Amino acid sequence: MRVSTSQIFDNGTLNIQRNQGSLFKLQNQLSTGRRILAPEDDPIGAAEALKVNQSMSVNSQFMDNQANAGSQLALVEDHLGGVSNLIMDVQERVVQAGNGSLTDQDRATLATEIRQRYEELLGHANSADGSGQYLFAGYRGSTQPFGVTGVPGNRTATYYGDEGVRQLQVENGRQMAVSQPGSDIFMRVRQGNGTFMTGAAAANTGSGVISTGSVVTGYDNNAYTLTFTSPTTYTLSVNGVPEAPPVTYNYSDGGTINIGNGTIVAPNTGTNQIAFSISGTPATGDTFTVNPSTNQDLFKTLDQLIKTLESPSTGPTPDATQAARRNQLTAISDGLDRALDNVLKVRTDIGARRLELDSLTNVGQDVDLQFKGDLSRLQDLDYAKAISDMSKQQMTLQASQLSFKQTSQLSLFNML
Amino acid sequence: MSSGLFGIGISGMQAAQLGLLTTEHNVANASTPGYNRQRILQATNVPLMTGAGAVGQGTHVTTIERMYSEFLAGQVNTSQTSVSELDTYYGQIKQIDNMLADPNSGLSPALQDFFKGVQQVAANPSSIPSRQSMTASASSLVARIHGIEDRLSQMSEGVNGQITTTVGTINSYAQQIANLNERIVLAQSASNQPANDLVDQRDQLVTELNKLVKVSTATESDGSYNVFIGTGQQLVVGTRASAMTATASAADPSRIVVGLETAGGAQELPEYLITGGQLGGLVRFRSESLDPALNEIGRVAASMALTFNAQQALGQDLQGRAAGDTGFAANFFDMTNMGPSAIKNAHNTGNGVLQAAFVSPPPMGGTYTLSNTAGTYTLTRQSDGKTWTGASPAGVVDANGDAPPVSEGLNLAGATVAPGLTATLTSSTIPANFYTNLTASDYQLVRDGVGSYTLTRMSDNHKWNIPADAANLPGLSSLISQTEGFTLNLASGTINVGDSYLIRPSRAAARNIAVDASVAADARLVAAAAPLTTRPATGNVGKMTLSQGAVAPGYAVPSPALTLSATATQLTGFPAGVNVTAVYADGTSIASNGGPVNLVNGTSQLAGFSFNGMSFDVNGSPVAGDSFTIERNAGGVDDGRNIFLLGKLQTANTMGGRTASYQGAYAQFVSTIGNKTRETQVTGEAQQALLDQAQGAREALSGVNLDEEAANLLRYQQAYQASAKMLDIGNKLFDTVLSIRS
Repeated sequence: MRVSTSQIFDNGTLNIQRNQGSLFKLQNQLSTGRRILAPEDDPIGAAEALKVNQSMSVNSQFMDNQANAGSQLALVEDHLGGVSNLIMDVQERVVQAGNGSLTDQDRATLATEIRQRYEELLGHANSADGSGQYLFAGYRGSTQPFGVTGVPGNRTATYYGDEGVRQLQVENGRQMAVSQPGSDIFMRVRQGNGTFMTGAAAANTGSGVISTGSVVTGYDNNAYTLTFTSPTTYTLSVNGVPEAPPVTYNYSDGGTINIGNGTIVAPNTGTNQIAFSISGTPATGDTFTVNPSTNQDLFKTLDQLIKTLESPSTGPTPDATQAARRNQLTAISDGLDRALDNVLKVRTDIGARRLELDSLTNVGQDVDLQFKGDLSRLQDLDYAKAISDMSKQQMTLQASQLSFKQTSQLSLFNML
Repeated sequence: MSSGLFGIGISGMQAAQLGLLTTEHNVANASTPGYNRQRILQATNVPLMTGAGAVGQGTHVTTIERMYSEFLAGQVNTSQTSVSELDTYYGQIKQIDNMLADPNSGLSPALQDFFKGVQQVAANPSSIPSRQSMTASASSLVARIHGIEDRLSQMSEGVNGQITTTVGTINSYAQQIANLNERIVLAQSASNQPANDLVDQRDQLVTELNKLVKVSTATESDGSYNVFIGTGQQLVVGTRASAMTATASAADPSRIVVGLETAGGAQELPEYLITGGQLGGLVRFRSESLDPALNEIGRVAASMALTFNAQQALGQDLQGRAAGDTGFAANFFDMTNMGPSAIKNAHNTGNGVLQAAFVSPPPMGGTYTLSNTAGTYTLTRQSDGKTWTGASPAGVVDANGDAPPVSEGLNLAGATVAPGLTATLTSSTIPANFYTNLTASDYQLVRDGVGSYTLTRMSDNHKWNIPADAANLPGLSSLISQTEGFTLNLASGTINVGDSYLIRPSRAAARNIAVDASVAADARLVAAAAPLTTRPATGNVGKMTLSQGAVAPGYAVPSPALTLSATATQLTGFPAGVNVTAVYADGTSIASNGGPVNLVNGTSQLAGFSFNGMSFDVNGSPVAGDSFTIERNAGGVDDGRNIFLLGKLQTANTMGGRTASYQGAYAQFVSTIGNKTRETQVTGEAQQALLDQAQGAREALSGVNLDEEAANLLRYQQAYQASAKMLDIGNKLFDTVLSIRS
């Protein structure tokens, strides 16, 4: 093959330049630690890395949200823990207050304590988070959710929040509630046993005390009134209408009374049967009632307790006074029980959510590690290989420089 | 006889002298670009016929020949033009590639920061600092988009400039070739010998020209070259060179295009004719990579602004203002100057002013209405107005006979709509939010006949053709609005046959995207909350819960508050005359006028209902007397329902008809540029190897080897010396004869 002189020079420099180019790129890769210096080096990898990067950032955002949700829930939980302790303490006082040997003075002392408890409850209900947003106001975080009007014993609590439940995105496709509207916890508390509530007329003069009662097979949502025609007999009216023809039932002190489908029935017969008992000695004309449960707020219940404790004994007989008080305390105690149920249900829920958060965070950390691995696989340089490539490339460059030097020196003219 | 000796000696000396001259010429031009080595061709002189036979009369040089192969030179030129094209392309696209190279400087981190800001507001909707950090990160996202767009626009300007310069150089080369043609024809006709060095110069000019644009040549009988570009457009014919022009395109004044100067003025050359060389590289880079890149970044910007704004408009700000209230910012991004552009071709004879506009983004959760007009059911997609009609809810089809896509998750078979009523159906499969159908292509609208408009999507040459009369441009517009994400409208004037318009849906978006000034100034305007809330009455004893509600575009929250009451079997209290759609657990939907809504349908519980653009989920059953209030979300500062949906836009498939997320589309763009850069580089390397081979082959024939020339020097020197010796011998012979005499 014929070779022209300029070819020797051109090719020599071209090859040196090419080798230098490769060396330069390797050097760049080694000094940045990146395998992909520009998308052209690995277009698919570069695009993939962008996607993994976003997934990683989204995942870390979720982990932030999980931490956020965790602290929010812990705060709510703390306050609800305070509320349930408070309710349990008050229940003890209710039991104490039922003791017949207490004097009006003793009860007044108890009432003072309950007044404090009332304020404490209001404090919990109006508690705020670190940034001053009310915890139990629903979406209306900057509106104080609970306000009270009236004097102790006759106070009305009003809820100014709304029903919103604040949610945080804690995982792809998982939104977690991090708040509970106060109305749910404090305002809508079912009374009685949750299905129906028993009661005694305020004007009763006997010593009859009615129990909370329970649902046996069901409740037909009718209002029942038991009217004593003598201390040992009574009649029944359903939704205010006396039974026709009138039936007179015999009363036994402390015996279970079963009502089913609109009338007094034998125990454990028929559907829609409820059971309760009356103890003591009712007077003629005393009435006892069974009504579907209504809602009452916890503040009202506490306020009623204060009112009951502060009411002087004014009944016709001490027994009648005591019975009236016990009937009121039963209703209050039922209300507190239901309120405690309510709070405990929310707390259980929150506990479950916090547990879920823990496991989500564990998964999130694993996923984060996975993403980091993926990203490193996509972007990072294999140093061992790069360094070995580098020395190979160095050798090639040196060889091409040396050989060029020697080839270019050869010329026939040198010998002429 | 002795005169013969002298004559032969002199002829030999002369030939050797020419040989020496030619060798010297070769040595001197060893590194002259385009130089082909020369050699002398020697032949014997006509012999003298004598009785003793033919007596040789010495030698003469017939010609000085250049070692040139037209075939090899052609190969070099062809490879050279490809290499130059690819080099230019690579040099340009590498700039985009480098810009996208750093994972920390592209669009991606700014996008992530922005959505991080959104999530922070979602975690803390009432916190002003969170909101400010969100609007601040929005501003830096916008700045990043501007930065990328700026860089690409500068490159576009750069390409314009380079095209102009290159065309200037081409014209100068063409003129030089024409001049050389003239000199070569003159020189060769005078001596009847090849004008080697002039021809070399001309060949070199053709090679240089090929570096700028691919040309082909044809040799005339008189030795002049004709030079053509493209598919035979004449650049040089004999001694006359035509001028190429670089002028603003008639279709798009911002673009410099190449043309040929003709008698009738500059005539634009279609871009497919400009191949090879720098010019080919520039033109191809612009149409293949730069334009799509600009459009793509615009598409991401436009889609983001459109979808984000659509969701923002459904929210309520920190001060309790929602759509329709004074002071509510319905747009998070200011889209004033982001709209599509429709550029009138400069050659249009009509005065029609065409306007293009974005279609408001369709909700992903596909809100549909199903109406019954005297037994004909019409399903309408609320976002874009696309309709399907049929004789039964399940039998509705569109104009092409296609049923609504299964992916929309509509339960049409279970819908009950009495005549005169309209039900609202929402998709069960797709989450909330919005998407766009924008593409990264440009479009061309041509009135190609009295009876026809044709719209061409230039990326893939897809065509829409529609008979033309005044009413049909809206028809075309509504056709493309459902798939291409924009509408067309003749604002004024008339479009004549032959008139055309260039439509750029998304180009302006990246340049002009901005955070709405009022939102940027007052972060409270970020609509993080939803505008409505529901509330059960405090005395409710039933187990029914009503969700807080969600709104769709065009919603109207009742004011004053609306209270729905439960009876034993129904939910009552809906406003009179309003279409209420109830949805049951089995997916059945039943439309009614102002309710009431049955709590149970067959054995299926009520699962939700919607009216006036609001929808609610129902769980459990109420007890007669329970009531629920639907009202404006007054004071709902900690409500993050809408910002949550805004946050979901980050990963939702919001672009290209629900096929890509913002980040996905951007990653695709990076990958396309990366692939194209790599492809160009690899092809470039392959072409370079071909060029090396072709050059090697040419050099092997035509290149000067100094060692060879050194040998030739010795050879011709010795030949000269030998011939001179002949004279000496002749002289001695003559002396011998003279000495005899004396």
